[in-house]
Amino acid sequence: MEAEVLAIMKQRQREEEARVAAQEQKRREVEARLAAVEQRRKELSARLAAEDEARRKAEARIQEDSRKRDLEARVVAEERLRRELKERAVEEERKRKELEERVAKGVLKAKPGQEGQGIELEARVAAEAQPRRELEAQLSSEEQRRREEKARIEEGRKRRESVSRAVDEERRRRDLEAWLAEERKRRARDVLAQAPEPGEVPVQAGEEQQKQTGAEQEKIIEMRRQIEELSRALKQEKRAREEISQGNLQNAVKQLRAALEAAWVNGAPVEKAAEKLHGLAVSLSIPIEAEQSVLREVKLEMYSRAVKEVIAKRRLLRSSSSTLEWLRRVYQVSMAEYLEYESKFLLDLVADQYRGTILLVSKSIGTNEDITPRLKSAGYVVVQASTPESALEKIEKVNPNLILCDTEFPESFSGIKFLHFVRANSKFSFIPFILIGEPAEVAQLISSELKPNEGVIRRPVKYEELMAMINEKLTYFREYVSALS
Amino acid sequence: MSKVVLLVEDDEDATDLVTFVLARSRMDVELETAENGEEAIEKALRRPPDLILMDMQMPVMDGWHAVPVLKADDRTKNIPIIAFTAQAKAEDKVRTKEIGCAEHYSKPMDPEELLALIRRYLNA
Repeated sequence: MEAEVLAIMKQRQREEEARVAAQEQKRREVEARLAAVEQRRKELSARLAAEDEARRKAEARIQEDSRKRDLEARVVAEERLRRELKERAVEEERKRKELEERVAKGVLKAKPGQEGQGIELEARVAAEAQPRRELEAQLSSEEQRRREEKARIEEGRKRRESVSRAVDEERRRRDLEAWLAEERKRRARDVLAQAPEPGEVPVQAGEEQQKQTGAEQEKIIEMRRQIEELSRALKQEKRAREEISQGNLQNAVKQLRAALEAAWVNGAPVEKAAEKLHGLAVSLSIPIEAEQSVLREVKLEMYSRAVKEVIAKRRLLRSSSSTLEWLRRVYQVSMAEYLEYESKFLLDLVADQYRGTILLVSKSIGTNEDITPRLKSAGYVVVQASTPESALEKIEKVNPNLILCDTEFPESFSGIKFLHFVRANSKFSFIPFILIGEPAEVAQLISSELKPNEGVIRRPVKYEELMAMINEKLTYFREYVSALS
Repeated sequence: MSKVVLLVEDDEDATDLVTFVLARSRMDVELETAENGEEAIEKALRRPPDLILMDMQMPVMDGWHAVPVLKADDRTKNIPIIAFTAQAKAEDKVRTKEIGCAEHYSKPMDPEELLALIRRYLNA
């Protein structure tokens, strides 16, 4: 009686141990899955970061190009402005001469009726004083604005980091101003030189001089106003062009990508077609770096699609690896590119196909009878051990989902002994175990007691039979585990 | 002028795979397909191809019956035929030669091997 109770208790204890072990196994599996997911997430984010970096570089270059073009346009515009100003100066010079002639005539005319004309001129001076003051105020505010503009240009120059060009531009501007100042001074000197002799119609001379200075200032103000207007228009145009060029580039890249996708769908295009595509990129004024980046993206995308498509038909293929190698050449994917993106190409496929780890303990490893390749092509990871002894060393590390083991080993203990060892250890006793034996042994083993997670199969191994048994044992194991949880 | 290859195959996946491989071969080839021997004979007579790839196991009329018909007709007798079989049986290899097939290729396929075979018969 007591012995029976003890036996029952021992049995319960063993069952409890098995349950704990199974739970532990499940936990480890979940952890492994989590680690795999984490690894994938890391790879993805690394890839994203790399792609971001490439895109940022391309964008920076595009912006730099557009800034350069703007700067050049500005230089051209300023050059034009300078020419215009020179023309105006010539025109002014002509008008000034006319004025001088008129003054000379006026002086001559003024002599007979000096008095009447003196009064009239005084009134005109008074009337003109007010607008002149206003003009002066305008000029000073203009001066202020010019200073501000100068500060802004200086700031922009620094920002653009295009020091040499900006310096050049600034120098031109200063030359222009110096020339303007010089011109103004020269004109003032001319006017002074033409002033009438002291005592001779002083009122008229002063008035004429003032009138002339006022007119000149007015002209200068007008010029400044035009300069302002021009630079405002330039700024607007610059902004508009920037917007257009960015929009254009996006469209251009889209167009190039579509053309590349069509050309690469069945592999690398022939040389002529590739040249044509490059010509398209050039005609769309896509920078070479951007073109190469798009090309690489399209190539890898098309290769990846082809891999998925062909792997879906792997039952018809003699070898997945030689087919993938062929595709790698068809799409001109370099080994380095392949390795860089291997996870992208294969992770999903592997995830779909991974069916578990098998510990294969066999003396025929490396021989013609080795079943490793067939197990691998069925989606299993195979860990090989040539004897039960080495299998014992590996079992804990490998944590297999199933053990496949020969019955006889000339230089080690038998497979049956190995099974007994596995059975006795609560850590491993739940692992499905399939023995591969000679027909006579198999009959004997079948008649002996085998647990539901254990099986035996005849040598030479019939592949379909083996697969059916592996499936059956794994299904049993999964059901057992899910019943536990 | 592109060469015409007639693929006679009832398995859609196999047809897809041959199409996939040929499209990536850079060969100037036009692929015609037929699902059984009867359809193959009809198409071959209407527009004689440069090469026939013939699966031997098919419904309606299999390759074993279709090949002798094609070989008996003057319009099609000179067209090389590559016979596809599911297993690499030595007897199949002998039998396909006997009924007039130029070559015997056993599935599963290897893209490069298949392309080399096709290329050899199209260039000849």
